[in-house]
Amino acid sequence: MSDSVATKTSTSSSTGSGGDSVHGEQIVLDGITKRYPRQKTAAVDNVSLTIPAGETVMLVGPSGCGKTTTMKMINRLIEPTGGRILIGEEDVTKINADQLRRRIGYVIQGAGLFPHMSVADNIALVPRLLKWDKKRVSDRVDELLELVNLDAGQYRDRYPRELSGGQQQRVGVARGLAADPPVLLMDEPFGAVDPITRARLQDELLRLQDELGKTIVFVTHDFDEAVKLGDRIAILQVGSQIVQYDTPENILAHPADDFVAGFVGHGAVLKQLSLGRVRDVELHEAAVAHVGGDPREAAAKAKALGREHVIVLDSQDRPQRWLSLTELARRGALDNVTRDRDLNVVNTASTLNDALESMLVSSHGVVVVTGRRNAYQGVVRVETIMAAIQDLRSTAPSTPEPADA
Amino acid sequence: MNFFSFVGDRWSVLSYLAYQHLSVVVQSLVLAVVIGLLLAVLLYRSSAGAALGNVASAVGLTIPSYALLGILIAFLSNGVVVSVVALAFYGSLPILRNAIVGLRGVDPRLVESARGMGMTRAAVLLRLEIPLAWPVIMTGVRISGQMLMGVAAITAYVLGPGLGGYIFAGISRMGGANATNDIVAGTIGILILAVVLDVVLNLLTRVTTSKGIRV
Repeated sequence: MSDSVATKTSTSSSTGSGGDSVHGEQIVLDGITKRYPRQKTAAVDNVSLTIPAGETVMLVGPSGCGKTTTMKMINRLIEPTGGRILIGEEDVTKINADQLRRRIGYVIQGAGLFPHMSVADNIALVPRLLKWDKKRVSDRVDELLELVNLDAGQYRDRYPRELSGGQQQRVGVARGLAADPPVLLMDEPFGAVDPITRARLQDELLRLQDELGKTIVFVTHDFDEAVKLGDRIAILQVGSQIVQYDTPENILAHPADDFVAGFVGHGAVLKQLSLGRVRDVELHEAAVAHVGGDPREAAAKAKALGREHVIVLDSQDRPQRWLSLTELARRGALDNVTRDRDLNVVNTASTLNDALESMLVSSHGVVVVTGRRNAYQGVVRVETIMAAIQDLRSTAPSTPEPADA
Repeated sequence: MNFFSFVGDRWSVLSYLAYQHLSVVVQSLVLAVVIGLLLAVLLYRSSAGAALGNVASAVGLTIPSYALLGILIAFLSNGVVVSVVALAFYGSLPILRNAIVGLRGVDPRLVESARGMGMTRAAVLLRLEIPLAWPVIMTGVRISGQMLMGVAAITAYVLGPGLGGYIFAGISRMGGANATNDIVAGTIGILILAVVLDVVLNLLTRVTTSKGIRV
């Protein structure tokens, strides 16, 4: 393992010690089986799996392998015909299914928002089923909208059809988290959005998980997504048979058999690059100005640092746009700075790959990094990323199929 | 006699009959909505049930109203009761068919998502499926409303309430004084009522349909 670029196992332990408590609960699948009547082979055959509290476990496999069936047995949308499921200490295969489901967040592809209900009503569904009082429900709705980066005032009363696909998916995640469940089930949640939006949603999920520490079971057929998001990956074959269950690093380095190797695909070394996170590399300080501040003072600071541009932040330290020294020289340059829609921002949980990609499309050679609540943290330089990638490649474990990249 | 002075002379009678006509149609329609929705809720979940509902609706609508009234009057001697039963029967059929189509048209992934959040079957029906099927159901209600306006005229055959009596009287005295005026007054009255009812139902549909699914 590299020293400068910590891989995910080591970072998850470092965030764990960073003070965030784990809110999730352990899930144990104990020999669960699903056999449909009049079918010879079981759809899910005697599967056992332990999902540690607060970890994200990715179920990956070809279509028809039973990964979705396995997941739906956890909230009993599909009733297992055999075996036990424990959440925490409790065997949930015998308890009331509706009560159980209110304790498990459920997010599906395309979000599954109810079109006739406003965003707020959609998010409030489970809290209302749990009979929370009005004030608590509405406070929670606003809190969740901020958590998924949607302005509560602007989006609360909109209907799903007035949102983009990515925004709908964010609301879907907020709805899944509404009653603060210890366990979150996600069924290919980002499958229906374009690749750029998907990458952004994945980054946000990583950031959320850093804050929340839920136990997440995530079904996907996209191995790259599994590597990016998972603390562990379970690779499944027909009948939901677990071929390999391990950390992404170990699966990439030591695929259990040819089936896994085929699934991992070529370029396993390159895939390791998406294990490196922005928070693992050194951030640099940019020249910073605040909306409503004094442009001359900001320009002076930028010159002192030897910079040509300053990044303008709003009152909550959220980056708005880059201004050049020329632009700053204008009278009242900082009075009304609006957010640049094309401003490239990554967050501390983003992969180095994403940061590099953002830089390639920006003209600054650096990309702004944000942390919690989208507050400015610093910038990453292209040199930093290149050094980190070099480092990762030279220390990457050997693979059966060395990529010649 | 000029048609307008004919109507003017009989305004108090005509307006009372028009009120009766509208009243019997609206009350029967309310019954029809209840019956149609209940049957649809019982039938929509299985494809066999849905097919049964559709066939029943299609076959029921081919029964001639005269024949049905004749059969009913043999069992229920009161003309008003017979009228209401017949109107509720015919009215429930388009509502039944539309409600089945609407309820089955709800995206199954939404239903699963609702179940996955811990909504009970009844909550899924009341808070997801019926609200989403509502515009289609209300279209059925409007079709029924129009149809019942016409059928209600025929219930005059069993001495039911409404403007039908005027039309019947005109037909039976064909060629006599004011016979044509009788028929035209009854018919135009029904047409006006039909338009009024449809406008009201249209407004009701808009008000009761969520903004999120309004077209």
